[in-house]
Amino acid sequence: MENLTIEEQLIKYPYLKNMAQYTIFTTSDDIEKIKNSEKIKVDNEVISIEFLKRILQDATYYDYAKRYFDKKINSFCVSYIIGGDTAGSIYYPKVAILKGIEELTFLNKLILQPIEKERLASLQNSISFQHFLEERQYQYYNIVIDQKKYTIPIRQIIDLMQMSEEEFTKLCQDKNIDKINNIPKEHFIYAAYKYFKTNNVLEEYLMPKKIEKRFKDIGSLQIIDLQAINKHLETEDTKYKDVVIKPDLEKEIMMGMPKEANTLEKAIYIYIKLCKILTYDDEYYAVNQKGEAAQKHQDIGVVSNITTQNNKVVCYEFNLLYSKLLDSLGIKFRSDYENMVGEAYGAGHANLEFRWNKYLVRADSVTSILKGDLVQAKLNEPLNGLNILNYNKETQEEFKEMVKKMYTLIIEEEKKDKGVENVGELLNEYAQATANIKEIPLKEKLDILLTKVNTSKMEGIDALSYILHLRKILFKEEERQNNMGVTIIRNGNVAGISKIAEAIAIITLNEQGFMHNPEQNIYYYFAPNMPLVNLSKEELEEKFRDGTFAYVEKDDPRIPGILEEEGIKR
Amino acid sequence: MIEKLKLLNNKLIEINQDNKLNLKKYQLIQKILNDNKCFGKIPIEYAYAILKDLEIPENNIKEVYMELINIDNI
Repeated sequence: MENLTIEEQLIKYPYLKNMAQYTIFTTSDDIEKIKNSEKIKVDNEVISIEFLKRILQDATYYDYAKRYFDKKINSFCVSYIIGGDTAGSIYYPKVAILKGIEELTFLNKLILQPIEKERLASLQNSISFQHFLEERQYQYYNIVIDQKKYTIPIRQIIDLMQMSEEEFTKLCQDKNIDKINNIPKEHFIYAAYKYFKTNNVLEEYLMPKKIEKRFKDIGSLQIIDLQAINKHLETEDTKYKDVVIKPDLEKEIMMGMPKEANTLEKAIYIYIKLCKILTYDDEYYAVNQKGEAAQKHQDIGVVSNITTQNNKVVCYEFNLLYSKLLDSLGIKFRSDYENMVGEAYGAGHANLEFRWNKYLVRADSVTSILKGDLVQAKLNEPLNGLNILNYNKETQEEFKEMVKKMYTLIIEEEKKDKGVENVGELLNEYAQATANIKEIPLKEKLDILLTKVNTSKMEGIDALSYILHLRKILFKEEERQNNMGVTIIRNGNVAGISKIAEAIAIITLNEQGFMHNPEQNIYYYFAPNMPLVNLSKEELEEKFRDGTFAYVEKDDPRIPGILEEEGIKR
Repeated sequence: MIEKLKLLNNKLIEINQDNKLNLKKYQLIQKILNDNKCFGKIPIEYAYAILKDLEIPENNIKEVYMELINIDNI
């Protein structure tokens, strides 16, 4: 190892001389001493007290700090040299250094000598608010916001940041005030925030507490929602352009859309209608979206053939249809292809994000195959794939209200000529008026379920959804936990020609309870359009072992009593 | 089937004009039956109670119910 002095190292490695203009080079032991000294916490910084003391007590440290504070150098740090490189650098922002020293003197951990008081005063002056005003208030700030160029006097920005709390709150919340200095209100406030942020003003200058708070408040996005600014200014996706939506499908989607709805409400309306009309391709689900069965969906031309009858889609096809319709509304969006860069159509899960005014929305119709919105919307259950991305609580509530309004409208349209009232309230009243509500024997419920499953003719995911729905209306929560299970799995041994795999259901029944008496579990295998097949536990377990059956996702719920001692199987 | 139940219910409303409690009950049933798919949405216990109130014979209730929860009715 070299044993050179710092000066000898600077001669040996001349490029370090440049760094010496803003770096105090010392020994590694000294760096350790500084780092291991007591610390003080200032805002988000934890600062070495030894370092702070040296700023005022050591002439070299003070010299560097003063040049740094006066912007004669852009940074100031302390490092050691090893093998021609620097290591162990210690650096703190200006305001943190000054606040740290002020805090130490306040706590009497640093008693200042006259020369140290002078030095402190000089540093304070270099980055005082007054100094900031002298330097900057006659300058201008250029910024582009939502494709508009602005040149704003810094003085106006400072006025905004110093406005009283009451005045600022009113400015933000009063919908009658739409401009500040002839600039749209949101843009002006955004510009003020960006100016402070991109110039690190709060790290470079000692600002009044009012300005520090104003900056924080704006950044929280709660007092005024600026989150969508400069986002989704253009649509970069291209694949949707080649899609032609079939007239019958478009007519069905748009039928009933209120003319007076705003653009976002229309986007929500279209999403819900698409989820009601389209259905998820069960074969694609059964193969866990991989392999040959998935390939037929990678042809974009398939999307242009989707109709109200030919309505099986996968996530990226839904995405393409939806994005085509968003474009027709003038909404800008971006598709996200999971874990991929660019428009990797057909390579994995896809959803999209779009913007309308201040609202940023993510639309994902297949958050989960059996509980995603393609199923939820058909059952009039709450949607989980259409989400507002804004942090602002008021924006979130406004969005939820719009979804509720459009969803209610669509549900009311479905029962328009029936004048149906809220069934939950009616049932409560009915329960008071009748003496005929009685327990139904579990055996009878199980019998009904098996009969309906055996005799109903349904296709694919809709058949499985029907079974899940029957489960909900026939069985109480406790019975669903203990007596009647439905597990959707993959069957890789399909009799037909056109499928590689299919989604099937294993129905597990036990009148006494799965945990109470697992040997009494009865298993049925359900495939769409086939009679129910009773399987023994051993037969079922063998099919898992030989790979005929498998769980689709590794965290899917398990079939009660099957292979429990062997853990999760695929 | 649902239309038959509505007719039955309408008759029971007529018969029970002088019996306020029963009248209220059948008026509630009438509102529930306004949704042709109501049996696909309500718990079986309520469905059976409605069928019993509509005087469907006890030994027919299960069969009628199964027809009412066909896939088309959900």
